[in-house]
Amino acid sequence: MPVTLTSLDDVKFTVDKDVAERSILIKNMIEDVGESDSPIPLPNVSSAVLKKVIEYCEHHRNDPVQVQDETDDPRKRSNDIEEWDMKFMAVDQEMLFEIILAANYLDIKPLLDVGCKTVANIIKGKTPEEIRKTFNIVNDFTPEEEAQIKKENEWAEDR
Amino acid sequence: MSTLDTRPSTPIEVPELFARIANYLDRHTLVQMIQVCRKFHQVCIPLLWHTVYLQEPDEDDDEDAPDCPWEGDKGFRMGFLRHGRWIEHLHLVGLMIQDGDLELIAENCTRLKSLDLTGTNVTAETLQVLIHSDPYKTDPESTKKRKHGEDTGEDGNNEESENDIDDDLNSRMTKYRRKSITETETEQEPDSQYESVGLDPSSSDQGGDDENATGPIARPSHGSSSSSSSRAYDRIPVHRLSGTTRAAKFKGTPTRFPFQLEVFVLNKCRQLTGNKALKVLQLLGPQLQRLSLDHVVDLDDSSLIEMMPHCPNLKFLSLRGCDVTDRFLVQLAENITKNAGKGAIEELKLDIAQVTGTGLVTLAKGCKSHLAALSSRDNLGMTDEVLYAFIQESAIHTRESASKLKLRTCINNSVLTKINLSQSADITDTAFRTLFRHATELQEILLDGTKVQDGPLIVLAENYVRRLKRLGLGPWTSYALRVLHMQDMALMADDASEAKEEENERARFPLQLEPLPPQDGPLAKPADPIAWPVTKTHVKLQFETFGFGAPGPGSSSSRRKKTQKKKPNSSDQRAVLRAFYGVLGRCRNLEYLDMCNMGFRIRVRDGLDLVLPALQQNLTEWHLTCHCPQMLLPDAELAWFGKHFGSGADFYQYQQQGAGGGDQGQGTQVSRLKMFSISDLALEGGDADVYEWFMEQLPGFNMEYHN
Repeated sequence: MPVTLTSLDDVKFTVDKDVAERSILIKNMIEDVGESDSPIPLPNVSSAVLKKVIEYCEHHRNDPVQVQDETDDPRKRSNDIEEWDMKFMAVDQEMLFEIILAANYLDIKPLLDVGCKTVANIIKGKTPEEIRKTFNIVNDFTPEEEAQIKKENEWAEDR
Repeated sequence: MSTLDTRPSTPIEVPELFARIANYLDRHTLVQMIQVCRKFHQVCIPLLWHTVYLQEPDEDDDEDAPDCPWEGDKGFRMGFLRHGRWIEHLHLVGLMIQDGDLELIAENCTRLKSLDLTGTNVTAETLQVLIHSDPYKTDPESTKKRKHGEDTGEDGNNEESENDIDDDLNSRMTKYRRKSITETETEQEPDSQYESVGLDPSSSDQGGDDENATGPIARPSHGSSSSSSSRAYDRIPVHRLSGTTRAAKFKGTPTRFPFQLEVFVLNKCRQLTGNKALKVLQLLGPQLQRLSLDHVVDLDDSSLIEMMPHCPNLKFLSLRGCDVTDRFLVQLAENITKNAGKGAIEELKLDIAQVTGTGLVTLAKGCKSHLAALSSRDNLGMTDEVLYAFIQESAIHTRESASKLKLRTCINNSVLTKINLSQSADITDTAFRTLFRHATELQEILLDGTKVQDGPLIVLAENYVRRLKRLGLGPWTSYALRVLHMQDMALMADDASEAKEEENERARFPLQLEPLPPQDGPLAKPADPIAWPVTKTHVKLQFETFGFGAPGPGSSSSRRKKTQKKKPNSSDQRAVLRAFYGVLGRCRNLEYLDMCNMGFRIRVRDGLDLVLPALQQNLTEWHLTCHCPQMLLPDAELAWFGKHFGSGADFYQYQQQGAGGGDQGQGTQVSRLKMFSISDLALEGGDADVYEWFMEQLPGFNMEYHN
């Protein structure tokens, strides 16, 4: 039973139900509405992004449902991205951000995780100034504040 | 979803996504992140300060150099004041704890979950600064009351009341915790915006000067902003000065009880006396879950016994190198039995203590349904009975009669996961074998310096291989077994991979279980366990490397492909194969065997019969496909498979009797084999009669054809 999805720019995509249901949002929609032929509107996702997201879902259509790992340490590793996912995420930064936002909106947790890991990997090794450039951020610290922050957190630098 | 209206262009703009990304950052990156802007600072600071690990600088360094920020780094102290509330895990290993340091922790680390003071100079008095009050009423009077109840024999009532106390303690703990967290949250909310960062660091130097109170550190929305900030800066110089007088009272600043504290590590604290420390630690009451007091002097049984009822949630206790004796163990077992398992310790480390086998037997009997890990290295009097205690059905036979009659009723122990019995040279193979057979969930076994021989290990292999993920170095190689280190054994995610893993491990054993006489060339290598990696592909590679690549030169078959590998002679190869088959023959539970592309030939005369005892039992799938025609199945082998995995009939008899006398071929299948795959190449040039007979023998077989 295929499902039709409509993107922000009104492009229709027809995908298998199990592919579409990788998105919890769509899954819940289908459950709520019941089987119907009418297309599902996704007013927050552009066709270019939706195409990528569907590509991901099709590749991962048979993945088992992810188990939430509740570890005490909030820090997680970001170097365990699968090869296919890595290639999939090798897009320009704008697209990467769009994919993450779409994954968040559509509630596709594995894709969201991979996206966030990819962003984390982009950030790694950058100086504060480089990070600002990446995200278009203005430095709103005063020089004194900067000095203070440096001092307070020096312990964490090289140990 | 308010974020959708504005359509954020980067995930950083969505707080939950930003937090998610930040979770993946390492410490170094977090340090960069907090310098980017205020928002980043706000998100990343709690992550950066979640775990603070400080260690004494190397001894090579100049002693006076304040290399470690704990000792005299002003910046760190200021950060600690500001961000200490985010700390959940604080490790201060080998540092000098000075006057006021514990106050600093007590006042700031309201979320503190674990505190590791290994190798520091803390004393019981210092600890009391942190654990200063007694919210759980563990004072001697209430203890006395309880003990009194026991003495007068009101056992039934007393038990109940004690359980009540446990429940009461836990509910009280929950209440305290909720309160303490809401308190800190509200109190520190304004600060989290980091608006107060504009403090000029130099101004704090002056200490308690009044003008600092009006400094830029104002906390706008806080009721008593001026006074609290003034206090905050009173403190700094006091803590920073070393060796001065105790920073006694901070004019009404309440040092909060560490309500979240669950883990306390005080290993090797030389100035700490165990008995006094326990008196303080028991104030933590139901909070305390893990306690380490390795190599702490002056720690005796009675104070431990006294502490136990106060800490019903203690699950982990490490007393390595302490003076605990059997008395504590006996009491512990008694308590656990009495409380029907309530408050049972799950992990106990008693290495190099004063305990003996006798105490451990009592302990193991008393808490075998709870004790998941026991470490008892280098202890005296470790006998077989210790092991039996874990698996023996309690109190059916008396010990004497049981051992006389060699009768032991063993029940499986599915609780025990880790056991360290290193240097226990008196334990015999029989005991190990029995333990390994009945303790079904063992994951980590340390038997360094025991006299274990191969027997128990074969039992272990049979029982646990299914769950083995990683196997330590070389346990199987020789009779002079030294170490068996089995970490991280776990069930594989799905059946197929489990079976494969199992097969991998099976494939690893043979050459090690039955070591070949040392030989030159590649065959000597299998004895070296490092050469046997875990993944399947590697096993295959290894087989090729180790000379399975081609049939030996003595082989009469003409249809074989030469490989580039150096070839050992065929007798070597066969010896290895025999060993391999021999071990396969012990794998009674094996259901799935994948020998594809193994690169050696399956020949009956190489000892293939050896696999029968086990593989006829449970094997349902056997894959023998091969992409190159080096592994052929000549007629004799086909007939063999038909006979031993089909209906049990013999092709050659059938041939002699002629096609008409084939009634003996209609019996039930002698094995459970359901799928058997070989490549059609393997049958190339074979006798059509055998093939037809074979197909008849095995109607349920699923032949897979590969090109």
